[in-house]
Amino acid sequence: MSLKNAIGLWFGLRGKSFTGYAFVLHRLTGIVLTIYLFLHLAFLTSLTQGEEAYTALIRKTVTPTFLPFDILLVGATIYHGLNGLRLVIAEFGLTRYHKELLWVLGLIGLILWIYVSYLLYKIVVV
Amino acid sequence: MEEMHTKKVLEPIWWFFQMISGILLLILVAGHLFATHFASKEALEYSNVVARLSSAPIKAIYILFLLIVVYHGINGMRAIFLDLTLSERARQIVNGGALVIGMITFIYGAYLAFSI
Repeated sequence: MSLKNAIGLWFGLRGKSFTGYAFVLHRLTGIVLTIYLFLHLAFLTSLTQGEEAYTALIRKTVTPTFLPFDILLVGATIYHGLNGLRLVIAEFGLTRYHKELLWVLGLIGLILWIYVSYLLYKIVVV
Repeated sequence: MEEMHTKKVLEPIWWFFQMISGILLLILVAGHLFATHFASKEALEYSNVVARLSSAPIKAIYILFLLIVVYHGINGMRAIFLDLTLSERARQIVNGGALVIGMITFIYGAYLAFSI
């Protein structure tokens, strides 16, 4: 299989069903979060350079400019976590109400996302 | 079901640990975010970071968190690469690369936690 075909297959929406979209989004958010894990640790290198270096980093990143990025990152985290929880529940056959679970988790996720976005806004802007 | 695709790609034991680590991360990530990033501006101050990490139980939780999150992220990335239907040689490179990158990331994170 050529690389182009392989990438097309992996990114392609498998069957275009709802769970197909959920799967693609799960992977995308997983990639974003893993890259962010490396960035998070790289940023914290400033901790080893003393208080000044660390404080300069915080002053630069905990700002309104980075707020939309933070909110998106938290959204990716909530989606990946709750969708992952849904997968584990399905894997262990813990519910017969899979469709209802989807809506309940979706609603919880949305409310949580709005709430923590507000918390971030409060810290950064207010 | 498409969403069980990762299960087909990974070896059963590493898929099982992917689920277990994922469940643990629901708690650890939420705890981390609410304790630091969502709490207050003060929570991110240098003195408070130092204070948190000087507590042995908190440091232990952070090391555990680091181990679990590095495993989950690297193993997930490994599954994505293995899904490209690779040759046996390429699979070995992906698996070896995942192990090396995972270990370096964990050691670096632990070094950060112990450096202050």
